[in-house]
Amino acid sequence: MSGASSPMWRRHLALLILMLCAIPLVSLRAQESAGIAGLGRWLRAVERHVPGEVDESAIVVASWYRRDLASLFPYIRAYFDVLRLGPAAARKTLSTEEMVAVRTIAVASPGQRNPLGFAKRAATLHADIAMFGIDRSPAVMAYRKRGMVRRPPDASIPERTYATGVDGQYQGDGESEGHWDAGRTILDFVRPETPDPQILLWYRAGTATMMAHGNYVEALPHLRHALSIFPADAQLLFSSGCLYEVLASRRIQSMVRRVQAAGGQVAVENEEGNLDRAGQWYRRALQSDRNFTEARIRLGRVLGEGGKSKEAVSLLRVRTTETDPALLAYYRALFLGDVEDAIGDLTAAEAAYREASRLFPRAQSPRLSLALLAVRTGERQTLSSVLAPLREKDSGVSTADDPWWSYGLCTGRDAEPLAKELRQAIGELAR
Amino acid sequence: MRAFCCFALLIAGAAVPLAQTFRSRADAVRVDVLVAQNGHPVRGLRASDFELRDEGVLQKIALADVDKIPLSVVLVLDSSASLAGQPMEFLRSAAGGLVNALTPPDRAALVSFNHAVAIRSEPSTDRGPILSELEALEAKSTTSLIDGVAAGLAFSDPRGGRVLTVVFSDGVDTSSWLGPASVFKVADRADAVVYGVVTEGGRRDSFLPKLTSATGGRVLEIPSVDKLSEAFASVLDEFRTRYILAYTPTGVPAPGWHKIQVTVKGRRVTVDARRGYFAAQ
Repeated sequence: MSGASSPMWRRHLALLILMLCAIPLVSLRAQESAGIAGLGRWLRAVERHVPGEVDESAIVVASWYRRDLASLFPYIRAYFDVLRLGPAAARKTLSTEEMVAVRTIAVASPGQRNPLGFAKRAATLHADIAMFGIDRSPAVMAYRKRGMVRRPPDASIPERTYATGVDGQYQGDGESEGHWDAGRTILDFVRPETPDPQILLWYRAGTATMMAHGNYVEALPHLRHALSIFPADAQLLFSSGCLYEVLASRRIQSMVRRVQAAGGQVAVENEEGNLDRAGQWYRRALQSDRNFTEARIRLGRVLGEGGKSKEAVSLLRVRTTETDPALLAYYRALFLGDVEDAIGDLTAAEAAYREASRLFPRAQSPRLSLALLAVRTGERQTLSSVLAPLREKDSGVSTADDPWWSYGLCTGRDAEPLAKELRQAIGELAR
Repeated sequence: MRAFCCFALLIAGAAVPLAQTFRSRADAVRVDVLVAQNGHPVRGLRASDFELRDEGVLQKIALADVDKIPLSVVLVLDSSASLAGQPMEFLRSAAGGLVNALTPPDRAALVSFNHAVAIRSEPSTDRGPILSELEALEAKSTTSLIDGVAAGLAFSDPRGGRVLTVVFSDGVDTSSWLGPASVFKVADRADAVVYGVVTEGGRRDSFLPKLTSATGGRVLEIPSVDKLSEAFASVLDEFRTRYILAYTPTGVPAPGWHKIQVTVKGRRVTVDARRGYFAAQ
């Protein structure tokens, strides 16, 4: 024990304690500098990104893992606090040194002049990454490096896992990279007091893209959030109806059954539940805009599918106007045929199917219904002419021939024009 | 009239007047029946072994010689994307094998479906067109199984003989316009026996089991598409072991839906037959 009290031993012990204390300090410094550096890279990317371009800025941000993006968000949040509230803004999640660094960056940043505009540009950068699927491209995946920012992830960018499938077959699981969450969170940092048309456009374009890509896992929180900001927007209410109508479809329900059979759990209700919700959203869309033709037609369809044929017939018997697209006139006639049949008026059903067939002569759906009616009424002699387009070779069939084949797209039909409109508007902000 | 004559002459044991078109009319009905014991078809039964009730009323039946009635086989085949590559090769080979196993007077037709339905070959005794259409089948897109089956049923014409509709799919319906109920309404009037062949992917869907049961057919489950040739051969063999009961309904109201029940006297067997027919006004 005599050695324990020697001066040499005391010097070693003091050095060891100093080293042990220094390790977390060094680690904390590294974390701070990584966070501030990450904020700097993100700001440069937002500033340099050209809306609608797969440029270097988009690729850099797309290469970040969701967890890293979420870990960066306390810095981005603090940055917008400084822009909105001035240098006095303080974030308890960041250290004093970090807040000083954030203030220094904010004062000299391009967002200082127009925080709302900068937030819109940032949200559009993240939207572009998600819309173009840059975060899933093999080149970006290869470039990825984990652990950019070592800090607990921000709750605004949660983990979202989803099931992927093709043609109703379950293919595997995927994980959201958080870019839609990021865009929504950034826009919330600067939420203006009066409804902003460009933010509304951002939400509409996002929803349309999600519907076009079949990205329903993102569409649910996206629409829920959008409606918390724009609760009476007929388009967003309508989009919610579309989403639940799609979730009720055979394609989705079949995949849900597959996942469940494999022991998995899916947060999707059964067909009846989703049809019911779709109907409720379509009704709300019609309350907001009683001339919303497509909401009326789709409400008619979901009511018919749910067995409420009489109410469905009364909605679907209302003709479309001359200014409505032929596509809507077709849907109306097709669905009307179905519910007229359900209430037992086969003559009216036949007339409706014939009208649908007249609008889209190469469409198979009304012809198949007409063929079945012919068999049921013993008029087989008409079958040959009714089924004539089905005798054409595959190469002659285009997906545009029958609008039924794109019915599930719903607002996704407008994805490209809406995205273009958004990018144009945000591009002008940058200039 | 020729079809009527052939069929009438083939009735064994009793002279039963039949409608020219063999359609389900109150004045002449035929019922295609499979009798099985422990999963194996039972052969050699006579008309007197059967009991048939139409709306609960026992009917006087006759038995037709099935070997001498031509078949009219309608193949309704999945051509969705999941069959790309080798599965499509197996499908072509299996369907070709079935077509080549038909006898000269038998007719065959081909309907394929992905998101769209294609009537590729009309019922014909000429094997050339259907075999070349099988070679041209291309796997792509989604699965409109119900639409495909509807076209196959609408298209089956019992005037060409006994209609056997063979449906194959490796998945479940994902894109049809029609719902199952529309097809069930037609199945009751189609005079076709529907057999379904499905892989594991289509096992959990209730559409084909319900449809085949309503028409007196059944669903064969195979572990993978490479077993399709055996399944198709088995369908054809089984169909040839079936009995055709024919009768003129007596003591029952003429128009509308008639529920029928077929049993075999004194034997523990399973009997598959359509559940009824529609009599025209």
